[in-house]
Amino acid sequence: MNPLLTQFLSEARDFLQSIAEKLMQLESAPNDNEAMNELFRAVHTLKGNSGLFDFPEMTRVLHAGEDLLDAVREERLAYSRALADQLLDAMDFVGMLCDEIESRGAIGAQHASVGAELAAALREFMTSDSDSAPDAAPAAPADLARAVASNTPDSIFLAPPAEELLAIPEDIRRAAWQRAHDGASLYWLCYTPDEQCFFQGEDPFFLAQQTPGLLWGRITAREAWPPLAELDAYRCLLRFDLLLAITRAEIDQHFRYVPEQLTLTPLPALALVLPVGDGKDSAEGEDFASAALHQLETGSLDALRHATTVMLELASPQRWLASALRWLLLLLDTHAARGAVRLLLESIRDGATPDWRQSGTADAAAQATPAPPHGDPDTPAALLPRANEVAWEILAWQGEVLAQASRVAALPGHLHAAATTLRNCLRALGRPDDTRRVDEALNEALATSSAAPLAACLQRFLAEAGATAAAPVAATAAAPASSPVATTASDGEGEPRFGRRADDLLPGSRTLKVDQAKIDRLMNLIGEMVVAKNALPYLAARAESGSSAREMAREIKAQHAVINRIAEEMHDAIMQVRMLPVSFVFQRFPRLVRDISRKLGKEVSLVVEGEDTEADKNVIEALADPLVHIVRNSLDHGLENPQERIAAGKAAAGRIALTARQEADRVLIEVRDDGRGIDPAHIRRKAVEKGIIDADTAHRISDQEAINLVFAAGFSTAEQVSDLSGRGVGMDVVRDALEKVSGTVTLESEVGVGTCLRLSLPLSMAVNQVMVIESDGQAFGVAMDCVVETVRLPRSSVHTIKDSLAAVLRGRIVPLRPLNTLLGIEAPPLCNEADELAVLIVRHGSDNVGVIVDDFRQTCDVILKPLDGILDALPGYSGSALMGDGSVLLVLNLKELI
Amino acid sequence: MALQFVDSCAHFVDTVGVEEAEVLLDWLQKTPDAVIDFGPCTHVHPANLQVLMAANASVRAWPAETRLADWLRPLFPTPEPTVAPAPKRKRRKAA
Repeated sequence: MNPLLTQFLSEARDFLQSIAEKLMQLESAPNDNEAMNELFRAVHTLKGNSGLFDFPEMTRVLHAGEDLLDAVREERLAYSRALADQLLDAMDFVGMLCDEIESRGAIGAQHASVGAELAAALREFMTSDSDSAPDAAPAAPADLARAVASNTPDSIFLAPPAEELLAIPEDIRRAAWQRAHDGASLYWLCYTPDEQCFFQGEDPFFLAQQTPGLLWGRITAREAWPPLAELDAYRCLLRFDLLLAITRAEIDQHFRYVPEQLTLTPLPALALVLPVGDGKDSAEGEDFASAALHQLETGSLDALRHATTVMLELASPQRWLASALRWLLLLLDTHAARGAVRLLLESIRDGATPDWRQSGTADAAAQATPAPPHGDPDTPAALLPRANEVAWEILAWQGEVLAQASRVAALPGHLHAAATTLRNCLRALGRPDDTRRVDEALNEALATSSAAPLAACLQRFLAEAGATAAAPVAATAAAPASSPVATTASDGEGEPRFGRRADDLLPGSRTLKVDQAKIDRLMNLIGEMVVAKNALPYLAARAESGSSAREMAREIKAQHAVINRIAEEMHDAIMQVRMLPVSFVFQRFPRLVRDISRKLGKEVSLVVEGEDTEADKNVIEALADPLVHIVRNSLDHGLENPQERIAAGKAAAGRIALTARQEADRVLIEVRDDGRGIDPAHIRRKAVEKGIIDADTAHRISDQEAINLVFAAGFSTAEQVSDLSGRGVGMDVVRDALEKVSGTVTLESEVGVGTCLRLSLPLSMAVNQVMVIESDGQAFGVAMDCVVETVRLPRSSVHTIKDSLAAVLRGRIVPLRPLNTLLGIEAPPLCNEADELAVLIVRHGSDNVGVIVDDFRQTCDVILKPLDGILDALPGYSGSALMGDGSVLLVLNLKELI
Repeated sequence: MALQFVDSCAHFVDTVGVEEAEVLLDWLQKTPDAVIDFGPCTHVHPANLQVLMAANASVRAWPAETRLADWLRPLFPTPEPTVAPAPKRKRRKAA
């Protein structure tokens, strides 16, 4: 990828982010002119930038967005929620295109029509009366745009009128029929170039000629030609009608710059069966047809074919009858449906042009055409036969999954996953009604803790599918039914499109924006490092010339101090570079909360605090997923509906507060909602039902322990599984993800008041400074940041108060704990020659505590590795580190020990 | 020169680009009995086509390139009556 494109993508993401922010900001303050101007500028710049590259889809959508915002800015149009929705949708589309450019280097042609549709929907706002009810607005323009952009067939028999098709020579129509018989899809394409297109260097004739799969084409004038003297040679008044045998994707690819200028109609092959010639009404035709219809009824097709051949030899080739007979023969040869043959024969009998639009023959048309392009090609859910196969294949695999689902602990998860897959497949196959059967089977399966009911349900579907597959006619007939259902489903739910949701992972942005000053600092440090390195050969020369060992040692130590200082500063500088503000993660939540709360019909206000808190890049990135889970849980389970809230005496709008702050070397993130809270009794019951704990345990554990059960694997309280949450994989994933970066999560909840989740994460995960101490002959490390000071106390000044030791240090009582006791070592603390105890004063909460050790050693920098494997479960240790002399140092976690 | 005027005949040669449309329009206005010779033509920019269509120009020779000729034939009246395409076909035998 060239550097310009890389920079464009990185900038585009920033722009999209700020556009989304501004859009939401304007929702709450529609009259904020400054935000409006910034928003317009961002869209404008992004559009301009995208024009540098070959991304017509992106530019088109952004251009429409820019025009729309310009109208809003000049107050020709009022800002509304529907408008923001449409713009956010459009920006999601642009973001999706960015992702695709990043991964594939180009934009697939299939997006052209979606792009045109979005652009049309945006422009619709400008043309529609701005007084119209803002709530009613979103559906109408979208529908209209779709109709305009793709000319969606509302019946499967939407062909151009027969007169138009008659313009196509018969032999080409016959060839097209053959192509359709061989499995190609036919399209009738009207390409109406823009009137100004000649000024933009376009050559529509060339474009039309080059269309792949072109069977036939013609040029027509859009309007009557003016007298030559008034003719403007450069105002394009031509229209191109094309008969194509290709896929929709190829059309989109070829016409990707002009999708809005196309009217595309899927063409059933039968529509082409139109006899031409003179002498329609003829006695011989009528006689023949009557006899032939009889043969057709009795099923003697061979006799029919023979009779047709003989009749055709007798007829003059120019006559209408001959043409009709040729078609008849072709229909017979390609095994067209009987209904189609009958209709053709009837038309021969009556001497009329066959009317394939006639009711009742539409089915025949569908059957006769091999794999006709049913359905709306713009809805991804519209299934082509191949996708149908895949869906059934997925269903078949679910059977295998269910057969293996035997582990009791994971069973509910397995069942839910399989049921969700089933539901989605059925929906995609156009059988949304059957999902209820899946739900029933799932409930039964969960109740009996066995996969059998669900597997049986699946088997029934597969058996039905076998029957369907045996009758391909039925399968193709089912396909058109699927598309309108799928369309309404996806539109009705306001499902986010473009495979992108606000809560999806941020595309792993591999670029890090760094303050220039930080890089300069690194540069200076490297300079110092080089100088320090150059000092070493001098030292070596001194050693060779025979300096005394003591002197050498002193000089080496001095040099070490220099390099040490530089290394420390470099470490610090690098950590600074890696620091990211939590806003990196927080910034997606306004959109997420907005989308989900609207979907759930809840009112939610999101409060974000402490976005500037910084932490290491890895930590921030690890935080993203768990936070999304938590916020979604809060939205879905935590907050009540406005009615419930009012009934409970709360404000109708719920509140979610996201707070971040730094505490010592940890980042604390708090997600607090004022929802219904978690009912421990409910959790106990659910946990017992799901077999996570037994009834005895349920009675024994405290409320807090019960609440913590939500972190158990496979736990879900949602009565209804939605696509938001409730799959029973939420909270345990959160806990696991946090533990991976040595973070912790705690949950507090009060019924009716709200829930609070606290995440605690380390600031960074690299070098730590530890102090090495000695106790009972072993060396341990203690993290330097909790050490206040080291003192030596005379044994006589240590007092025993009740059972514990204490000493007075600078006028304050400090409790003392011997490390040996804390670690369960029997040996008493050792004193030095002056009968003094070595005491390490450490911070513990807000107090200081003295830890009695045997001796202090040096401090050093170590890379702390968390204990893993069996040692992972050991309390009291935060990890191990490798020392300069090759030994392993165990680092104590004094907070846990004391 | 892609467009050559000889007496009342316009010869289209190779690729006739968009810029010729203005010239062609002028010439057609001045030449009421114009005929067109597409013979060696391989591509005509549609701006020229619409000028010719508006002038209802008669065509003396169709392009040698058959694909282009197929596109152009239905657009213009022809002095020669022989070019009307009559669908010819062979009968298909039942397999």
